[in-house]
Amino acid sequence: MARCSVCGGPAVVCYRDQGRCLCREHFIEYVESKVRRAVERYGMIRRGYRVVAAVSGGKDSATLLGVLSRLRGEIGFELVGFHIDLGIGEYSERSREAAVALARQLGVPLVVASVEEAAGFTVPELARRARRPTCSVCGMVKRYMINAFAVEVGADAVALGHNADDMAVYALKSFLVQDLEAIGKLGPKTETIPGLAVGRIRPLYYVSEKESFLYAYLRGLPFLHDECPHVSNRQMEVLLKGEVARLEEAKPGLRSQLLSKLARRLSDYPRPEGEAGRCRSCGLIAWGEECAYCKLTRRVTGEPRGRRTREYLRGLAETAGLLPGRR
Amino acid sequence: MAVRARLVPGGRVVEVEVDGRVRVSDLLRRLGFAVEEAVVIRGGRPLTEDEYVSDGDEVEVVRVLSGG
Repeated sequence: MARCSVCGGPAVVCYRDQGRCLCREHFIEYVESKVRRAVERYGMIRRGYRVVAAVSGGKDSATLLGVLSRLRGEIGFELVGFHIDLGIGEYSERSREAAVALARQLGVPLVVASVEEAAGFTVPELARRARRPTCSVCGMVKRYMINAFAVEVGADAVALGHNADDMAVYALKSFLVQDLEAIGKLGPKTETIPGLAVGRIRPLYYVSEKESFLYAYLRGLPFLHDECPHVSNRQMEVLLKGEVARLEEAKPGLRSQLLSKLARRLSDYPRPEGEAGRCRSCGLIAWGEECAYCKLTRRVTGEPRGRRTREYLRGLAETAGLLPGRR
Repeated sequence: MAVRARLVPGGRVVEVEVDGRVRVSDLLRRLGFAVEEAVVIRGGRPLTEDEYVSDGDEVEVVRVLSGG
């Protein structure tokens, strides 16, 4: 049995290329220090911040919430979890249960929003009526809702659970289809545009997917293993995940090198056309007259649903005692 | 003789023929996983790549890479 390089206890993970192994306690410490370093290096969270963390119920949001809840005392920030019920049958129910259990275990306040209550339909219904792929509609709805919620509560940052494997795969996929503008958005942090969009941070930027799983598992944090039923094995992201894992095995360190170099070269990538402005229907960020959410809901129902969604989220924030002025 | 591996997610159980014992990294390869892709857990404890799994052992093999 392998022994921990720090204390000699039974190891749970080995880093072959680094020639060291770690026990449960020191592995947990190691992941937390990686996140702490990324938070400091990229100025992700400052003292006094209110951070809204996306909590899907999966392993990455368990790790994200698990680490951030430990850092909040140290750095001095407020952490609020936000879960979106997408309306995808039993999968969404179980995800919500996991998110609630996780937040309760960690003592983090959690707000649960329902897409159906916010907008009038579930994500699969919206995708079907819009005749668009479910995953792309889902991503757009989630980004809109977490941003709208974060704006309502006056948050300083939205924390997302993307891990190093996610980021490497997004970068490769975008490169393969030559969507260079998309690569420019794959950094550890984006800036807040007051009133329009709250800046996003990715504290797990350098944490591999395997490390994320092990952290959540070893800390005994509740999470759902299951994948969304809409994810297909033929999707680019799924195929690329396997390839990146194989490459990393052959060339350890490849993933984190890619990401740290990418983080330094983001400004070399082209920016999307046009300027960020205010959506004429809901008032949040839009690349054009109307934001993607208002545009899509208008196309499907005849009226944009952004304002109604913002009101719904404001109601949730008020019930949770999170509206600014109470801080 | 075999190692019983329960795949997570999914729950499918695969019997892997072994001659006495097999290294975790080899078990993963035989199941079609890269080492970075999955974790082998026995009795609630994650095993490192160089550890051995023996005939008759029951393990969980968790695929950690997710989709979209």
